[in-house]
Amino acid sequence: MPNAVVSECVDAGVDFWTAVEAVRRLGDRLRRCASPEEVRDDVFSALCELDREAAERYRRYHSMHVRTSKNTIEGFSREKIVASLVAETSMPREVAENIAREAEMELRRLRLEFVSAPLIREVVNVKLLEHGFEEARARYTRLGAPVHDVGRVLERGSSACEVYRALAGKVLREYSLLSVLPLGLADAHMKGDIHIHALQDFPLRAWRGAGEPGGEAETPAEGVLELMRLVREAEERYSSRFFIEGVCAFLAPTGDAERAAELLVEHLEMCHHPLSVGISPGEGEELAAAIAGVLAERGSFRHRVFFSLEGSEEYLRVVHEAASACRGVRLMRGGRFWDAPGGMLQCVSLNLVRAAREARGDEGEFMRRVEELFELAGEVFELKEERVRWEGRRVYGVGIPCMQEAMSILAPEEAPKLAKRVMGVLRGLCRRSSSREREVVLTLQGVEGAGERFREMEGVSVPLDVELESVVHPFCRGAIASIPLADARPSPEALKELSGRVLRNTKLRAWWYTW
Amino acid sequence: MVRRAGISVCELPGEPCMVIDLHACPFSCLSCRRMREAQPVGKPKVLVSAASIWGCEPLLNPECLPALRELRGMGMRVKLHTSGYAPAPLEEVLAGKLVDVVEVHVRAPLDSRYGEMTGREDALERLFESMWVLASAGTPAFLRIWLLPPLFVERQALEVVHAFESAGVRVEGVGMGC
Repeated sequence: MPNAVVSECVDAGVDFWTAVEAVRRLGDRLRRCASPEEVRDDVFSALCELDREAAERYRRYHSMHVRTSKNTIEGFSREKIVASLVAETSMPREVAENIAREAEMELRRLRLEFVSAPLIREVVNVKLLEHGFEEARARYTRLGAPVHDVGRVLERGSSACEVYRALAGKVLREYSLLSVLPLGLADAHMKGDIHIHALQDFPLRAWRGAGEPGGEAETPAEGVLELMRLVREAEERYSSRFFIEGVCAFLAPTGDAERAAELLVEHLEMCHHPLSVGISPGEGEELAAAIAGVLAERGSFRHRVFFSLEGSEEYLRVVHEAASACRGVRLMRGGRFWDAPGGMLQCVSLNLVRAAREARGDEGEFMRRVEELFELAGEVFELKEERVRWEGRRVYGVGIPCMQEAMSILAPEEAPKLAKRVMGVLRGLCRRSSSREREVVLTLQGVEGAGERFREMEGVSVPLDVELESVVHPFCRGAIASIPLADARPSPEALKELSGRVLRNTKLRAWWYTW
Repeated sequence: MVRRAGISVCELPGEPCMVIDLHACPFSCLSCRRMREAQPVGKPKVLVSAASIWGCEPLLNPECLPALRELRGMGMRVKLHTSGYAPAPLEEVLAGKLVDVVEVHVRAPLDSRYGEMTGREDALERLFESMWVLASAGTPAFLRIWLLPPLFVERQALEVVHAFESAGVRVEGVGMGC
């Protein structure tokens, strides 16, 4: 112990011989001290008798305390830094001791009475970078959010759940980028070459799902409860939107369409997890129309409802009343929208605009770049496979938002023709990457956010080209387009007329009107 | 040619139409709120067979006539919005049968206040000229009256409708807004 005390004194800036003399004077008293605090008090008293200035230096040195991440206040300890460096970065102890010593010097220079655990980490990280330990820094760094950002989330969050989700999502996204993805893929995402969807859930769960209730419900209440059970399961399994199909086939046999529609909409409205509900009149037109009626009356709905337009005139009228009144309504061709049972494990969107820009009008070069991006997406899928357990065939989505922007850069005059060739190549790439256990598909569903990001990054946005979208949609699993209207309040009849034209003159699989 | 376009399902009843904004405005109307910009749509002809030309006084825009000819060439029905400040171009357009319906925007009572409220002394005189042009061409017209209480109220709006009808304009509808 005497040696350790002398060493502490010297570290604090006390002259060696003064320290030795102080320890000598204390003699056996040191051994009788019950705690480090008692030792320090005694040493301080001994130093006061010898050299007042040295004693003051010693006191200041030991007055630095740490506010720990466990919400406790403890005395500063270099050894704790060394231990955490060795445990978290696996660096040799000697190197860790050196880094910790330098960090401590830096902290002591600040002459602070209290330092926080995050501040210590920041200083240690700076030292790691100064010594060229970049990887160690990535492992040692702290994840979280600036105080200002947390304040904003608190201000904007509409519920406690939303605040928790936003803050947890932020930490998990950073974790995925720092610790799960290799540097190359993380960089490709951050630079915007690709967009890896739902990064916060990358190591946790699948991207988006689809499912349907089995059998037939006996009463509306029982049926809706069963649907809610399905939704609760989906919340655990999927990070993004969950698509419920076969709702009408399940609830229509209850025979009380009005009650079933009301209960369904009311209960789904209470779910926070984003949902899409597929409504097919072929499975129960009375119920489908009743659901549309409830939505038209409500005027708002937090989820999306996809109405198939294969129904009677009366059904179409009510559906368009809902489309005119409620922003959550989507319209679709055919009986069903989502044809990937179980959903998609992961989706990666490709920045086709950048590829087009870099290709400088050369179609071959564009295809080569698209292939490179596709390979990056494939690497992401491999990683996801290692992280998330999945039973059955694994489906992966390659998002292709901004196809119009890319074509407008590459060949504005013959965009639809070129788009067809590009889609052919992309489909070929999907087939090559698919196997018996794994399927890679193109998608436009749920990639709107990535599209916005790419458009903003590339500074390009072109008007909706229905002709080109008609080329792209048939190649995709899950494709939807937004048709912007210039009217403030379009009438249901007028929307119905427009939908008729969309069905007759285009190949859009699904769409919604914006105004 | 087309600067901003979108699809409107309300401009021509029962017929979705392409909205083309050819903004040109000589006025500084007290009631003016610039028409909200339509979201662009690239090749809307797949979905529409009609067009509506907006822009306060699109007839003063040099792109207007060529645009109308192009739209007619595409076989589209055309609706033209006008403030009535460009009677000569209106006459040319109507004589060439380039539009099917005209929507006239009236932004003040038809008296001495018209010039003050639009910021153009000759505005009323020109509106009357446009009225005669419309009447003699027999083209159906729709009146869009922009009230500005208490300077321009509903009673005066009815006088506007009466004036147009008295001049022989085929008024097929009236819309009022503030």
